[in-house]
Amino acid sequence: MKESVLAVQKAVIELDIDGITGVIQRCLDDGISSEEIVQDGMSKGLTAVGDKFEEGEYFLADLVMSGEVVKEGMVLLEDKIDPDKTVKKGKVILATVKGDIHEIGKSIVGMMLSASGFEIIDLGVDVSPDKIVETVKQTGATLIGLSTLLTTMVGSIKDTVDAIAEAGLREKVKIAIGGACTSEQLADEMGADAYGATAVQAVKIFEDMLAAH
Amino acid sequence: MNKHERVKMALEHKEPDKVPTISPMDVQKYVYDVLETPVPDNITKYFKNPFISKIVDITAPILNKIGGLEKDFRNFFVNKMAADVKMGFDASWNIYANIFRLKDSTCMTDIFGRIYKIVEDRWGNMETPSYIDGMFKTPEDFKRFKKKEWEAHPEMMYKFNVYIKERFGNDIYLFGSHLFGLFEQAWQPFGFPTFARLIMKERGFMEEVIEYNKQWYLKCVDASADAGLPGIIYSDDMAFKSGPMLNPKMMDDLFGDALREITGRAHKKGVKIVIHSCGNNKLLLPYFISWGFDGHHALEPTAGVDIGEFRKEAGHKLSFLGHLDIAHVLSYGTREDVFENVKDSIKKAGEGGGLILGPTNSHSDIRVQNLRWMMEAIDEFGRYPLSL
Repeated sequence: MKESVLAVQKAVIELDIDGITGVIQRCLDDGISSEEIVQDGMSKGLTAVGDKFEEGEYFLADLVMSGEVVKEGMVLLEDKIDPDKTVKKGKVILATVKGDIHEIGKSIVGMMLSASGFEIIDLGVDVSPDKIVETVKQTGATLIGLSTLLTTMVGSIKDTVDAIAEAGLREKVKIAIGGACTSEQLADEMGADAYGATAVQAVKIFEDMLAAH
Repeated sequence: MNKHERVKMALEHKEPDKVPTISPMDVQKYVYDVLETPVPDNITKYFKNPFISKIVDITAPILNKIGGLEKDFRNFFVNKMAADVKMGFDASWNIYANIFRLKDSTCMTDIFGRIYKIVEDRWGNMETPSYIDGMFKTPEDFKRFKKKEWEAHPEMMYKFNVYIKERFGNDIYLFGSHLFGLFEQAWQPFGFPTFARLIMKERGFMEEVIEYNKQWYLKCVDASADAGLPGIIYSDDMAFKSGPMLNPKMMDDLFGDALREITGRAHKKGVKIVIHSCGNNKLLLPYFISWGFDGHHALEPTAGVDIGEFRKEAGHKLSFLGHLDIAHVLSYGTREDVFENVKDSIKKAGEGGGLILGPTNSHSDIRVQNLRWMMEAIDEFGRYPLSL
C-alpha cells in the first residue's frame, strides 16, 4: 500500500483533524483514486480505531472524534467519488425507536458500518414502526439496526418487530438491537436476531447477518 | 438511631444500626402513588391539543416570563420529598430543577444552552425532558448566549434549599443537588461531536468554559451547604455501558483540579459530597477518590457493575449509593427478585458501612410495592452486625 494512503490511515487513527486534509491532498497528488483513499485509508483507519476501542485504549469520545476527522477529510473527496465504483455490501436501516431520542451510539454504528462498505439509511430518532416498515418496502433493505437508551422504550423494539412481521417482511430482514438498556436476553425476548454490546461490534454483527441471509 | 445518624455513619464507613436507603431522583407515578393522590396535570399535558399547541408555539417566550413551568417543577420536587418521607427513605435525592424553558409545544431549552424533547411516561405523565442537542456550535455561540438566568440560578437554588430544609430537614437526610456537573455542562450545550471537535481544536476555549462552570458550581455548593443541607449529590454522567465517555486521563486533565476545588469547598463547609454517574465507572473509581468525592451513586447493574468488584477496587475510600436495579427488579420484579437483589448487594458491599441502598436511577415503572419489599429486605438482611 502506498505510503500516502498509510498516512491517511494514521491520521484517522491518531485523530489528527488538522492533518487529515493535507495527507489526503498528497494522495490525490500521487494519483490515488478517491475510492481507494476512502476504502484503504479512512475505512481501515476507522477499523483500527474500533479495535483500539475494543481493547480499552480508546473511548467513546475518541470514536466520535475519529468520525469528525473522517468528516473533515471527506470535504475534499465528496465530489470526486464515483458512485458506480463504490460497491456496497448491503443496505442497513438504522433507527432510534419510537419514544427515544438518543442517537450518539446509533451515529457511531452508522459511521462504522458506512466505513465498512454498507449503505446506511438513517431514519433518525423517535422512529415509528410504520416508518421502518415503509422504508424496508421502499428501499429493499434487508438489515435493520434498532437503538434505544431508555429502558421504558424497549417495548418499541417489540412493536417494530411485530409491525415488520405483520407486513409479511420478517423473513426478508435481519434485525439487530443495541443501546444502554439492551442485552442478549432482551434481543431474544423482543424477537430480534442479534444484539451488539458496543457500536464497534456492529460491523461483525451485520456482516454475519448478511452472510446468514 | 435516627435517619441522619444512620446515613452519616454509613457515609463515614461506620456500621449504623442497618443499611440506610436513598430515594429515586424523579418519578411522578411513584410520588403520587405514595401520596395517594392523582398525578396533577402538568402544563404540558395541554400541548397535545392542536389549537393550544399552536398558541404555545407563538407564546412560549411569554409563558417563560410568567414562570409557566416553574410552579410545576417546584411543586413536583416538594411533593417528591413528602413522598420520600412517607415512604420511609432515610435520604432524599432532591434537585432544584427550575432550569427548563419552553421552546415550543414539543421542545424545551434550558438556561445553559441545551435543547430537549418534551416526553411522557406510558401513563401520560410528564417525564424529565429528554436531551436532544446543544444550542452552541461555535465558541461565539457560547459567548453570545445570555447568561443572566444561569448566573441567578445558585441564589434561587439557595432559597429553595432553605425552604425544604425547614419543611423536611428533621424528617429525612437531604442531599442537595443540581442537575448537571462540569463534564455535562461542557459537552451537552455543544452536542458531543462539536464538543469532541472543540477539545481537539479549541482546547483553550474549552478550558475557559470549564472554569466558568466551576465558578458557578462552587456557588451551587454554597447554595446547599449554607442552607444547612448535610449532603450534596454532584450529578455528572461520565460513563456509558461500555465505560467512560472520555479517556479517564483526559477527564482528569480537563476537570480534575476543578472537581477537587468543588469537593474541597463542600468539605470546608462540613458537607459530604457524592458523585452520581450512570454507566460503568470502574475505570474512574481511582479518580473519584483523587477528586475528593466521599461516595459514588448509581452503580447500574445493567451497565455490568458488580458492586463486589467495585468494593475491592475502591475499598472504603468511597461510599456506594443506589445500585438496586430499576430495569427489572424494582419495576417488574417479584418479591423474591427484590430480596435476592438486596441480599446480594449487602453481602458484597455492606460490611464496614459505606453502603446506602436505593434505586440506581429513576424509572417511570418503579413500583411502590417493590420499594416496600426493598425496605423489608433491608430489615431482614441489612441489620448490623451483618450475618450473611
